[in-house]
Amino acid sequence: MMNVQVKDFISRVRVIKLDNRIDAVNAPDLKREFEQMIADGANQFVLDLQDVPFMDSAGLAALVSLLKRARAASGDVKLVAPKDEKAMRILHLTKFDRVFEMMESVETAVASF
Amino acid sequence: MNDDEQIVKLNVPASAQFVAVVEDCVAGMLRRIGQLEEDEQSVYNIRLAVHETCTNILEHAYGQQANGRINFEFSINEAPLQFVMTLHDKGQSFDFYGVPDPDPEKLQVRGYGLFLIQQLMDETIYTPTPEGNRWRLIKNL
Repeated sequence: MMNVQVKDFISRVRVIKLDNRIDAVNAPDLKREFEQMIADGANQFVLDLQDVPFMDSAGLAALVSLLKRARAASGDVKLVAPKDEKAMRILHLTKFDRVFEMMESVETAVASF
Repeated sequence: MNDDEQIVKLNVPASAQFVAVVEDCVAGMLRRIGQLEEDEQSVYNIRLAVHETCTNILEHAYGQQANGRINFEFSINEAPLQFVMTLHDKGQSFDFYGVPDPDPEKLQVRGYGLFLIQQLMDETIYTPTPEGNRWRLIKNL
């Protein structure tokens, strides 16, 4: 009799689309939402930043905080880069484009998990 | 017109809601310089540096303290062409030069604000005084 081994892999990736400034005004709320998602068991995230026009240090802190928590839960966070070159330059300046895996689209980001 | 008449002065409540007002003022001043009209990256960078300095003052100088205010003076020097901004607050001082650059590889959550200010501006001078703190930021244009 043939030995058939079956393994099911279920990859649950949460895609979060952000389309406004990520700054000191809204970063605390965003951070709380991220913390709740981690508490609910999510650990694989795609942050779609394509339409984010502006990010400050508080916004960067919210992103790295999510990455830290996701990795602590054996997960990861991948970023879809901002289309705005000025916002992208801030990610480059702070070397976030090396810390996070930067993806060209949501689809490729989801497929990469 | 003498030098003093070229200075724009603002006095705003130390509140996150007013940071965008200051940013808009700075962007408006910079757009008066013809050659910067198309240079969105320079305007964006200076705007972000102003934003980060204000955020630092809100968070570290005033913290939870209510009713703080920030004094701003902006000017554009013509030779050499420079944007110069000074800020004064009456809050707590901090060890500006003791803050290390962030290391994102260590997934550091804090320290990006001062790093960005110094990366985006050509000169950043922070001076704690008995009355508060003074910042002087210069960007060569």
